[in-house]
Formats: sequence, C-alpha cells, structure tokens
Amino acid sequence: MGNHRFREILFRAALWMDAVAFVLLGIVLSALKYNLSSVRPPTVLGALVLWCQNNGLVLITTLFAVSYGCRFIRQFLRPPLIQKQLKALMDALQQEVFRAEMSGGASLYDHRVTLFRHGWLWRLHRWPWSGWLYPIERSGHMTRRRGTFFRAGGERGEQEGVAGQAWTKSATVVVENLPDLEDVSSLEGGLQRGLVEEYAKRTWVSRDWLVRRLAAKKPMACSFCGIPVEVGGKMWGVLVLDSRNSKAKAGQRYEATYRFFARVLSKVLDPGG
Amino acid sequence: MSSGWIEVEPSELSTPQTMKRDGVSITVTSSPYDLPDGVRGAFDANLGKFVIEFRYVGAEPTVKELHDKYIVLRLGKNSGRLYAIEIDVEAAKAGWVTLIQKAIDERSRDAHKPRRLTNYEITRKLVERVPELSAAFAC
Repeated sequence: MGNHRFREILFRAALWMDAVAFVLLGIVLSALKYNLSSVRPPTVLGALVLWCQNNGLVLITTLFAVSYGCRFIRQFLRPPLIQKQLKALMDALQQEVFRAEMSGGASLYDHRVTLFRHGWLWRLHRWPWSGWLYPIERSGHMTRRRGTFFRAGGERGEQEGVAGQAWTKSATVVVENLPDLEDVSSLEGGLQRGLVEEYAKRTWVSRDWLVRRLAAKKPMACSFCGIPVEVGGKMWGVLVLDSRNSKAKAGQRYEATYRFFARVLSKVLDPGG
Repeated sequence: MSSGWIEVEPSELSTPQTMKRDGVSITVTSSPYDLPDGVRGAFDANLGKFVIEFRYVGAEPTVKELHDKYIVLRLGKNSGRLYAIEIDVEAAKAGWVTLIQKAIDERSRDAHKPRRLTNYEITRKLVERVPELSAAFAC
C-alpha cells in the first residue's frame, strides 16, 4: 500500500542499479585479465585497469553485494505492474461484494478489502520479527496506511485478528454481529468498557490496541471475513473483508466470487506458476 | 484422459461449521483452494489404471503415495491436497469405492505429512456421490 509512485521509482532505481552493477562487474573482470605490459606509454585507461587490478577483490565483492541488494529490494517491493494489478483486484472485489452498499452511497472505508501477506516485520517493539501478517494492498483510496499488523506465528495462541485465525486454520473464517464501537463515544462507562472487551475478545486483538484505534478514530468494522490466499499450494497470506454491516459477506452466495478472486490472485502473485 | 470434466458445485459439498475458539464462537468454511470444482474419471491406458482427478482453483506439483497396494493417491507437494486417485482396476474389482475411502481415511490420520482434512472429506463425498465415476469405472 502506501505511496505507489514512490515505490515505483524505488523499484526502477533498484533495477537500474542492478544493471549498472552487472556491467561494471563485467568491466572489472575484463580488467583483471588485461596485460598491462602491452600498454606503453601509460594512459588513463591503463591507470584505471591498474586500479581495478589492485582493488579487484573489494570491487567484485561490492558489486555483487549491490546487485543482490537491488534484487532483494525489487523482490520486496514487487514489480509496479503487479502492485497495480493487486490494487485493481481489491477495488474490483470491493465493488462486486459491496455493490449494494456502494450504490447506496456508503463510504469506501466502511466496507474494505485488504490483502495481508505473511512474512517478516521489521519493528523493534514487535519481536519476534517472523510470523506476521502485514497489509500490502487495500481497496479504495482512503485508510491506506500500513499500521495494522497481526501476529500469525506457528504456536498456539500466537494468532491475532481474524486474519491470524484464517491463516492458522487455512480456512475461511467469519466473525459477525460485533458491537458497534463507532457509537461508543467514551470508554469511561462500564457498558462501553464491556463492549470494547467483547470486541477485542471476539476479534483476537488486545484491548489496548483496540483503544488506540478508537482514539485515532479508525474504522471499526462490525463483521469480518478472512479468506486464505495460496500460491503454488503454499499459504501466502489472507484476504480480509471488513464491513460496518453486522452480517458478513460470506456463505454460498459469495463463494463463487471468492473462488474466482482466489484463482486470479494466485496467478497474479505467481505469474510463472 | 478421454473423458471431460464433470462440473460440481463446491458450495454444496462444504457446510459452514460454527466452532468455539478460546471461548469465542466463529464460523469456519473451507478454503476456496480446498474445494474441487470439477472431477473426472477414466481408464489411463499408459498407467493401466483407472484415474479419478479433481480440479481446483490453484495448482501445485504433486507426489504419489501408495495405499493398500491397489490405490495410489496423487497429493499436492506443499498442501497435501488430493489431486488424483489411481486405482488398479483388475485387483480392486467392485470394492474400489471402499478402498478409496480407506486410503483417504489412512491419509487423514497421518499427522506427519501435510494434510487437508476438509479437502479429504469433500473428495471422499465426491467419489461416493458422482454417478458418472461409477459408470466410467464399469466401462
């Protein structure tokens, strides 16, 4: 998610740097084989070849490191075309499933589709860094910050959120009829506290995290549907549909739609598969 | 294989289950990847066996596992999902459905390998319920 333009520039910069490192590596390797005794009198090129020969090991190691670094960045960022396809898919799924709500004038952020990927998360306060579900794309043009992460580790009790449950079960998980926390104006009253506790328990998140979301006036869904996403038979991530409707968009009526999007997502995420 | 795919309605094979997890009630249904949307069965002259195949939304490499000397299961290398069943027609005779059920049951109990219990249950149902498979086997 985040800024697509910035990601695209970074991806292209990494691509170019990789290409330049590859060409320079070829030049350095050629220079190492060059016989300088045939060059008389000394030229600028000769001086450059001599410098390459004197620093051959450092140069080759550095260029290899730059090349691998660039490849890692590109892999992490994903090609801009794939990111655009994912965005289009999230928007299409939102429009398909929440068609009635959209035509009724509902806000885009009240009925969202988010694609979470399972992997590493580099946050000092989120140790251990492995086994997290983090958002990589979301429908609509609002609420696109990447602040929501869910633990999805291998051990029992390490799963957070509906996404974490869908990940662990490798199955579609539905939670609905949650308390409407956007109506909770203050957390002081006993009733409000009870509702927050109930919401946190039923969505497998901590009360503190929920309170912070409420304070930041983030959207509070009343139903969730988490659908596993696989690539080549391996669990890759989870698709989460959250809605202000108390009834989740799940069941036989939506199964064909989810199957279609699951198929397309797997193809987009693994074009060679 | 000569026969075409028999379309099946995946949602009819899978029923949502309501379960309690840590004291919280949730509804769980099969992953879209675990539900076959097509099945076909035909005699494979090259293998000399009757082969039942299942079609899914995803694809992956498969590995073969021998069960009960008449039945070979082709399972997803990563997921353990059931992609095909090879049956030794001559040896299995009329008891092929029972042999398949037994093989799938055995595989369900093998916790040391990747397995998809919901998928096994669904494919088991399909083998029992799709009459075209029995007709193809009889040919």
